[in-house]
Amino acid sequence: MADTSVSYKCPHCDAPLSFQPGNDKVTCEYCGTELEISAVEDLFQKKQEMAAKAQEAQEAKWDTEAAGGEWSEDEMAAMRTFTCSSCGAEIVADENTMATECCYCGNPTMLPNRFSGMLKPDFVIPFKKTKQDAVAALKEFYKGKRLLPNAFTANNRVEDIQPMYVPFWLFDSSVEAHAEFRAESVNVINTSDETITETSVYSCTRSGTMSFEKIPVDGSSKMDNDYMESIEPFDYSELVPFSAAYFTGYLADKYDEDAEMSVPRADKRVEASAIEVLQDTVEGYDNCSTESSAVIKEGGNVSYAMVPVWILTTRYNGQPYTFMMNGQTGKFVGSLPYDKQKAMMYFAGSAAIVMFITYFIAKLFV
Amino acid sequence: MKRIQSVLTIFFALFVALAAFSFRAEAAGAVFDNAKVLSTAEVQKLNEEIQRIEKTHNVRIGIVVQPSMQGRPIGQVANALLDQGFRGAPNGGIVLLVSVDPKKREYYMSTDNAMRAKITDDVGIKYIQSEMVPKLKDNKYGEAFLKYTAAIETSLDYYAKEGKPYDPSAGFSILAAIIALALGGLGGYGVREVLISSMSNVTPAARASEYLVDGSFDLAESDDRFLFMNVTRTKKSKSSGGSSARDESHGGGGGSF
Repeated sequence: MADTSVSYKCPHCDAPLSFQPGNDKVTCEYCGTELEISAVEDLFQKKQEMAAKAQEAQEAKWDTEAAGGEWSEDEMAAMRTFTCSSCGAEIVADENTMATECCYCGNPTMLPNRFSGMLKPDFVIPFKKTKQDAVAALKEFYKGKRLLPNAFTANNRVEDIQPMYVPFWLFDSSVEAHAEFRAESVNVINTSDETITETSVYSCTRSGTMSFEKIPVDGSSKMDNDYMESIEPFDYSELVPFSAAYFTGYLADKYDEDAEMSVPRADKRVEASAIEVLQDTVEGYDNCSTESSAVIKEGGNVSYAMVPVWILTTRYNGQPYTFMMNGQTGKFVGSLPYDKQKAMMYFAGSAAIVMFITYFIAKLFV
Repeated sequence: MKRIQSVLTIFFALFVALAAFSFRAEAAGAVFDNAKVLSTAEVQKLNEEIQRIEKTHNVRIGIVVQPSMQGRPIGQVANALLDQGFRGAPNGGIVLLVSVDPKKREYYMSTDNAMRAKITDDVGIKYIQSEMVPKLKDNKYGEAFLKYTAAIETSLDYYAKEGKPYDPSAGFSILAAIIALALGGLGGYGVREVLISSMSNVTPAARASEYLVDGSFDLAESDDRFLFMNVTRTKKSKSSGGSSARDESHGGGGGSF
């Protein structure tokens, strides 16, 4: 979080600074650092500006009202919602889809209800990957996993794969970013008696504007945020205006986190990237760290899209395991269980090898 | 020019020989404490120890302590001392010369070729240094010289038994084993953690860099201002095993303490 107030502190040790009348320099009473008065004034003027901008940034908001549209009566008539009796997940599908298992928990009992109100998506990314692609990706995902329990693959139900359209909010944003960095340049001089290290400290101010387009944030609390961020990115060149026809034969999740609730996740990513872009312009130094920053949104459009995800749920030792594949790009993510005995064997084996090698190396020095 | 060099070399050799003679003339036995850093009891104990080792292994062992080298190179003087008083035993000779001049505290061990085969320059001399120098640094000269004789005896015993020079790194080292155990445990734990982390590729996205519109970044302000400079000075540690006066008929090594 950027600072919205400023106090005069030594840039070296953070102790309070005070001007001494009649001097042309400010000397820190604690660490003895001498600073030109003009440098201090300039430094803290920038901090004040940065604080004001941080305050402004806090007040800026996304235009979340514009996201999504209203369903037509025909479209609403063609939709059904399902509530899983086991985990409570809410799933939307067309009237012809009869799901036999919950795609989140694998529960086989689901009762259809009449579809009721939610925003109509602006866009949809159609499925490109098939069930066969998902099965192949899962098998590929198992490869090279040395700690995978043998029983996990032997008893695996790879046919339990469901295609689902997941609601996403896509944030467009133009931002004005301001940041102050502390950069260090290190010069090492070796004499016959000593090593002299000169560390020059600089204050580097950077400001700039940039635009981000369609930062995706999923609108479903049932979908694990880490999984949804892991299947990024999507190819937006294949984004098409929404039509309910794309839902035919697929499940669709209903958003339960609206655009307003999703804003903090988008803001956090935009701020981190904007500061990183500015930091990349601080060149010619050995070290660089962020002192203060403010990222102000100049425009903040949000659109609502449904994106394709293949979801696999399976069980091992009574625990559910979920895997997801980007239905457009085929990027596959998931977490596999590991065999503790195998882990112990690898620990013991590698420890023995390292011990054997390091013993003889250590003997050369002790 | 060559003539001047020859004259200087002759003068230097004469000077070293005279210096060696003066060491020899000052006392009898194997220990010559010209700096008075040892008690009578310590000298007696060292002489007894040296006589016992000399008798067992048919070698000559000497210890000479000087208050100052007066600018003379300690390695050259130690070699001359060896040649004058400690060479000729069937299994070789070794002499330790120590200067306790506060301005330059240094030592040198000189060996003849027979001893050099048993106490090698690269391993044997370093082993004696590792045993003796810590005590020299603490000004515990009596204990340091006992370490010197004990290390020589260990080296000679090993050579007599195994027929090859003693190498302390050849035996089992508890310290190396402890270090290996610790590093092995860390290595094993690291491998285990890497394998466990490879079971998942789920990683949250902290940034939105992939969604930055190409060419949209416009840098409006770029200002770098020098604030201050920190200067740190680190003294270089001086080597403790530097000087060498090795040649075809002399081995050994030395340093400062």
